[in-house]
Amino acid sequence: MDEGKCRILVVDDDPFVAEMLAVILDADGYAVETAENGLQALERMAAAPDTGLVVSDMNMPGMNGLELIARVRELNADVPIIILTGNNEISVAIQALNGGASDYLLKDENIQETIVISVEKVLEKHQLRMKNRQLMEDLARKNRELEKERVLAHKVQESILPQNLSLPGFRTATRYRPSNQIGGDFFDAWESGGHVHFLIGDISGHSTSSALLMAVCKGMFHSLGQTMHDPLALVTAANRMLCPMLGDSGMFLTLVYMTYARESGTLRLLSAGHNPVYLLRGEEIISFESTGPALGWDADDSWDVTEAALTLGDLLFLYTDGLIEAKNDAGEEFEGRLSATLAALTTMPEEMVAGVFGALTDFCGGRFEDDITLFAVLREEP
Amino acid sequence: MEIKVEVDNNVVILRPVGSLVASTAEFLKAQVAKLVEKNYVHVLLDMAKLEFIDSSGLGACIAANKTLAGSEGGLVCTGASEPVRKIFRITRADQKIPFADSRLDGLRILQDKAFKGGGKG
Repeated sequence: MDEGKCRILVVDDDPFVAEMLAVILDADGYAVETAENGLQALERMAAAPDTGLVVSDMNMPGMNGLELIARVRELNADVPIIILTGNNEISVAIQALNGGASDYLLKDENIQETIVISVEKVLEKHQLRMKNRQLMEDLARKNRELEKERVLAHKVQESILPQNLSLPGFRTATRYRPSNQIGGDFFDAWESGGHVHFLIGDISGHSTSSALLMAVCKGMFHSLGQTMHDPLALVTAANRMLCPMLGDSGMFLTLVYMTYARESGTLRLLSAGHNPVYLLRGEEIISFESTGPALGWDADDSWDVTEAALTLGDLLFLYTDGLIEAKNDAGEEFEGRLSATLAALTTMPEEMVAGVFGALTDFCGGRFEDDITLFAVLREEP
Repeated sequence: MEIKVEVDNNVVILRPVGSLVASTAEFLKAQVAKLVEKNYVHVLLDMAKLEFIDSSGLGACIAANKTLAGSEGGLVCTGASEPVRKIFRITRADQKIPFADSRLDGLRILQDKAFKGGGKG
């Protein structure tokens, strides 16, 4: 047998035909065995499980070609089978192919040429199918591994985000829903040096790199916020660190950074290219617009800072753009409904967040294409 | 998304058709990098046929502008629909990349810039 050529079993009740085919295929480099009937063929198959192709007559006494195909499949589901017949009716060909044959050949005066071509073609197709199946199996395995990694990354990311925010004088509620297992949204709040810090951020894209950058940013802001309490100085310092890190990747983040000074009761808000922040005060809804560009574009960028006195009962509602850009079946965005949704809810943070998320889910039928983070902060009695 | 390319004197007009999102953002950046290699550094991004842009697409525009500015050129946008304009406005990306009222205005801005130096022209 030539290297790379397989073992072929030829089955025909006419020994002359079987021998002729064996000689032709042997001359072409294949290792050929012959069998006179179906039962003998099955014995040969059992003895030589590496048989790579079966060439069988259709009409044989005892077990015909179709029955042999079925029995061979029990032994080796994949081996290709070429059926030979002296009958040139198309119905026989269809029967053979439907029965699982890979090809169908007429035993006529051209058989010496057609058998070689058919064997090559069938084996080539079979190899391609096997290779394709292997690739699909590899892909499925890699996908399973990737999914496992994503689930793990999701857990890690959830553990990075604060679970319970305990800040005297504030009641908070959050909702975080990445569009995939991992996302680029983040939020945080903590107290340091008489200032309460609140932030929400959204990294561009929803890829693994967004998730990595989210983890970096969350740590960086928390670290800077331990000693710096001026949103402008803090965000400027963070931006100067981010710009060389992001280079020409095109990645950026939008962010709202707020500090509340306990002594003065003043809220200072910086919005780096982020969606409006809403302040709900009784019946009134005040929005704070973006005060400068997104982060990561230019190390020399600067921002304005908005100041507001925060009084008891004031509720701040922060969110990422996944909320307002979610679409319904008509292609409308949720943005147009946000103010009315907020106005219809009570100003308890938990109810506000649950109510907005519920209204959004109803609106878009639960189809979330972007990460969504909701963050509500109520100023209450300490 | 496909990007149609035209050249008007020393300004290249790129017309993206479809959506500029994560899967297509790299294509825009690569197109601009190729133009810079050929010393075309003044690019008008005609967004009339751009149906949707997300944050990755916006990032690609910013990156393209940086690449062009690094070669003394620049990017000018025109023809954007309101939803496309909105993402530039909120993120303040429109402070980085100028928007022209018309294609003709955009060409004029870039050709003036080209006349003063940088790239072909």
